[in-house]
Amino acid sequence: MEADYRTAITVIENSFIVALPAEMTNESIVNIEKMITEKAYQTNINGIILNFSMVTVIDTYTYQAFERITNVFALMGIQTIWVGLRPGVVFGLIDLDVVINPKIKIAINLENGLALLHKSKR
Amino acid sequence: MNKNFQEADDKLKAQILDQIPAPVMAVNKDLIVTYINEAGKKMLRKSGDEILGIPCKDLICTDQCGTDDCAMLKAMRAGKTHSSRTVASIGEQTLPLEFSAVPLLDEAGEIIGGLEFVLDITERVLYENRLKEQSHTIREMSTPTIKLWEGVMVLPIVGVVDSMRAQHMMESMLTKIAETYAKVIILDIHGVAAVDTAVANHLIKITKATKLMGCDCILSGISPAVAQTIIQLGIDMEAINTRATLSDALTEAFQMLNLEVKVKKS
Repeated sequence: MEADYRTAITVIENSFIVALPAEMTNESIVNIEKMITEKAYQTNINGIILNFSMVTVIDTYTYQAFERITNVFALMGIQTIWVGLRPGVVFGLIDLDVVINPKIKIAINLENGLALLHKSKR
Repeated sequence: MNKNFQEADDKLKAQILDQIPAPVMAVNKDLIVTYINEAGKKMLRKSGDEILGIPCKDLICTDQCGTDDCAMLKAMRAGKTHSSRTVASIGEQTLPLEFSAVPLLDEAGEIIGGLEFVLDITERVLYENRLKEQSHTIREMSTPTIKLWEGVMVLPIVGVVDSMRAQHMMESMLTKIAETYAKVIILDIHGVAAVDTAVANHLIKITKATKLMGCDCILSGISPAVAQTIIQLGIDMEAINTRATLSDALTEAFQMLNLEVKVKKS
């Protein structure tokens, strides 16, 4: 299986910013998970920002996959913050009656996400 | 005695049909008009001779004429009453009509044609359109989102919260949050007369949605009566940050944003 390289990862001050693609298949989510967990393990990382601002649709499976990724990072001692969920995406998730994990940290945009990350690091 | 009654009845039947204020029309299997009552003649503004023997689509033309959607054909095929609503053009005029098509049976029970009962619903359609317009206006009015401070939005709710309105509220709120990057949103339910399980559910959903947007939600304006009903109903509002008044909520919002209001010493 060929790896999905459509995900951009930026490193700033010991943290990752992962820009997620507009559409994700189940396989590409698995690829993204593998890629970022390995990269986080190799480099000295203590915070990850998942940028959803390009994502147009999230179903129950996608949500649960990212919840799992967040839990995996929590186990590795890495803080995960979700940023930039679009109104349409949120509307869809609420419509699907997805059980939202209150432990997940969410910020409205990248700026607030980085501020949140810095605050929790201190 | 019985026979006399029967004869009178036959004569009366024709009169009854003519005196019905709504147009009644009968067609044969080829959709040629075989009978029309007085009200029908009046509606078409034609005499009986001009109407009888003419295909019905030449008299009352609708979009369904000549297609499989024709209510009369459907009724004849299924042998059942078929009601529908359409816009018909009669001569120069166009009229919104509601009609029921009934299959006509002979003594042997064979379908020989159809009977159509037409109602002019011009006025009703007018009222319906007005009602639609009004409800649209009310909906637009009912969901204002106000910026109270940098990063603080207020959504005052007045009246009844039904699922349609809750959806609309959520929509307008989420787009506003995305536009303004608000950090705290205050949902003021001071004007909501009664909170039942359904309303509480909608409110919980809205707070959940704002959390997903990365925005904290404070529910304010909970009067003692509302608080009591919520507790009596056993609704779990643990997940929501609730305050009694709008000012309490604003104080809480300032605390979240690390802001402080001081009295100026003069």
